[in-house]
Amino acid sequence: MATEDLPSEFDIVILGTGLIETITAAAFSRIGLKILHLDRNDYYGGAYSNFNLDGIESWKQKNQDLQCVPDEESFAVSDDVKKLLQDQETIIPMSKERSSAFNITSQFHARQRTTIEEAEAKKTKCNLFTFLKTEASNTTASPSATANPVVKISDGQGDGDPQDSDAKQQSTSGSETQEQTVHVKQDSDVNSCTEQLQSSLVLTDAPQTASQDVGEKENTSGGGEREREERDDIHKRKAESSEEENNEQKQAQQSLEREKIIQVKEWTVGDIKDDWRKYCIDISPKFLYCSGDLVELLIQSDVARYCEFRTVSRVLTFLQGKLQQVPCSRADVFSSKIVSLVEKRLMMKFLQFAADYESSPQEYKDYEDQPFKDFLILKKLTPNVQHFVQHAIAMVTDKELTNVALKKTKKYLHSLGRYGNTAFLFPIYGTGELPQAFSRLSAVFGGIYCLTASATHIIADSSNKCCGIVTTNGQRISCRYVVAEESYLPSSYVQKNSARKISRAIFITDSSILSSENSELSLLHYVSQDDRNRPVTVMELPNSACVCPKDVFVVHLTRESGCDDPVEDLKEVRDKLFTTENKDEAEAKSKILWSMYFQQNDASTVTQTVSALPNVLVVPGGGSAGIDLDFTVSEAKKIFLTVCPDEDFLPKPPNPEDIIHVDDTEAAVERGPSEFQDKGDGDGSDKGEGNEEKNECLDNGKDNAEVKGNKTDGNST
Amino acid sequence: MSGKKKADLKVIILGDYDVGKTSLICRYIDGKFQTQEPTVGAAFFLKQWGPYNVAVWDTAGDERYSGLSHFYCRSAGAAILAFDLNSPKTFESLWARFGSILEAANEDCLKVVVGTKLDLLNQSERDITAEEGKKLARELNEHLDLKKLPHEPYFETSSLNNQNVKEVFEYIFQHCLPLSADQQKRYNTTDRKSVIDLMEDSGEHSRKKKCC
Repeated sequence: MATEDLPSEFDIVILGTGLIETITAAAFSRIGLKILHLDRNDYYGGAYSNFNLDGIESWKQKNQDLQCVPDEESFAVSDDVKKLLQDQETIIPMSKERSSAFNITSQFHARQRTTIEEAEAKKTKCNLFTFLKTEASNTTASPSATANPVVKISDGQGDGDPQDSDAKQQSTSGSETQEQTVHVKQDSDVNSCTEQLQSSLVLTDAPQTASQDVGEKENTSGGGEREREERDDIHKRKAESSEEENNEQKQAQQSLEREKIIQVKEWTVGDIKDDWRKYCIDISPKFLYCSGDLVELLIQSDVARYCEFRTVSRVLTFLQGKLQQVPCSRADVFSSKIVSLVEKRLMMKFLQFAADYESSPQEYKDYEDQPFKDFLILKKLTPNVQHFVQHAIAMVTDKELTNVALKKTKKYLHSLGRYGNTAFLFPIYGTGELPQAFSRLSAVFGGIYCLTASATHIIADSSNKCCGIVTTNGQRISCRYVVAEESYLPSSYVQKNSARKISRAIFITDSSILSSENSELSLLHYVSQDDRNRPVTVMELPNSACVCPKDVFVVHLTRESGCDDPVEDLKEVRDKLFTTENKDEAEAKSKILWSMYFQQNDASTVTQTVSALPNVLVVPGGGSAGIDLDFTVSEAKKIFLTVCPDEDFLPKPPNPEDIIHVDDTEAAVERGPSEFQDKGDGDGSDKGEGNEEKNECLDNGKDNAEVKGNKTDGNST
Repeated sequence: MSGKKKADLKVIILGDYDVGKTSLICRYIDGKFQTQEPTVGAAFFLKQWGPYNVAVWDTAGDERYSGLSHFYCRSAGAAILAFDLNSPKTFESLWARFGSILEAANEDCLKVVVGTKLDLLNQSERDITAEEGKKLARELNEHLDLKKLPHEPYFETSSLNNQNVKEVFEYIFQHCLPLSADQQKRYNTTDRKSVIDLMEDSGEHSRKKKCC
């Protein structure tokens, strides 16, 4: 939609703003090449994009409309285009846009608002925040209020907890008074913690013993980092909680009434739609290995300066018929109650071997080409530990060979503890932010960006080399190279190496699949019984990942397709973990409020064919079933080095933003300790930029302390 | 180490090409007027204001051909919507072009409408009256309680003569910093604290928890 003409000469034209293209663009711009970066869509990211709730519905509509476009259709060579050609030049028409997702369906699983509710919602919308506050503190909410959707949201959730965490919270408060070793992740804000307790106690009614057991495990393994502080706090909290217990009796009467309200709590379509802006729903949700190539690149290129992440806070697995938290770190293994003491030793021993498996080849050489599953049995790991290692750490199928699986295990282990308790990070606002972040780097180094614009043709010079493009606006642009995502190019240029498809589902749910008093960002590698070789990746993202409003979750399911129906592919896991019905008392499953299903072709591994014009470079598209994005770095680097074999790939830029401009008049006031300093022991405060070598040698005190703490913990169990 | 600290406030600037966005920022940050080449080289400037770090983002010229991303506006606490006082077209653009991408900013994002190139304006021939500017400013900020502010978030500036430039930023900072009770709460929750900044954290944590 560019209203004015673009400059007519560039070094490189890049088509598509997917992650690989944008990394490539940043790398080229960084060394001073003139980049024109086009995308046919009006949004960044292509197959890596993220949308709000309205946006994803338009995306669905667009893909449905595009299904009418025949697969091979390309742009016509009109007379106008021919006029742009110079002597002996030829012209190659590009592919028209095809749908990138198919078999898309979406629907709400909530009822419509009644007219009264609609009126109420309108009245309260502008005042939502204050309204929530007053309602949350009003423990004697009258039953009539249940008709009001806003009240429903506030019930038991004013503090941002998933609604059916009540059972869990009960167990927390209960176990805390009974057992000292229980560590609850402590909110820095004691008040809000008290609030949580209060609301949990208000809800107390059901028998505690059953859930308490689970609760303790959760708490102990989740305690991780903050343990020491927590211990200090625990006395204070104990005092508080006994106080709460007195309240409990007083409130017992009210709690009955309250519980009734909880049970009839029901989201309406309107409740969800009102917040459409607050959703960031990824088409290709991915995690980053904390020590993976992409994280290193983000740091090295300084793009990390303007991105923020959250750690995946827990890895779940489905074991013995229920969801369990996987002990990931050393601390977790020691404190976990799912594994016995003997198993702990076995598991630690195995993980220590795997973390550095290449140095003990005698351990695995003979089994390299045999299934990892068999190797684990051979190593005499117990079924529990086998399960954790294979499905939650290596995340491989039964068929996967030992050498591949060991590599994955090692990668996982080396990513542990760098930023958090698990091996993974998630970009806040979604994976779709990453292409935009790299675009930003390209733009600040002079890259020119234009959306809703693309190339209709490539121009070849007399020696049959690419020398330019014609834009959708009919402008001729000269360039030395064209780098294009595969779907932009003539289909004869691209050979797809995989006929695979992936099935995806996106749910908005009202609670976590495994409730917790913390806001958890969860990963579950689910082994589907209908075909164990096509596991399902489940990502559950809370409000704190900035992808959805409070009190709901966005859940992504990804699986290699086994048929043409994504709903069928994901039915088992859906039925196991979710429900679309309103909850009854017995069922604590997470309820789906909105769902979308679709399929994508796996275009993540492609080869350029011999018929491709020289100086046209193919970039793989989306649709990979993998969990992470490290392959994008090597793909981008490959393209970069094809064009500039002797240049640095995204070296650290000079940092004008390093300079803090200080007004003389407002002399700098010394800042308090940073959020990180006050957490640790004051160590690490004088470290420079986080470059790797430094990290390696500065095995800092905080971590040691943590390990120590956990050892004690381990002994006590 | 405050240089490594995440900014407390993100301020962005939006507006058509060549309305003088970078000049405005440079006048404030550097105290100099430069006829800018289209913006190149910095993702954002950091400015210290009292105890706070403010990140001022410039567009990198990517708005010229409809290339601005939602990412640019993410978690912005304040947005400067700049237009050329001498060009009605640039004023109309503010709502038409930038309204939708501002959705990505904070819900309570303060939008300040700023007319630029006051030095070139012939008051008797002006097309956009101050009233129109103030009206737009009021509309854009409907969701905010502006009673606390001394006047509408509308300014007429000249980066060349250094008129009203500092005032724009002071106005923003006074509204957004010190953070309001709500914001303060948001920043202080563990939620906010557990946001990972790769730059900061990679120096704080050891990489090999597992290996002893």
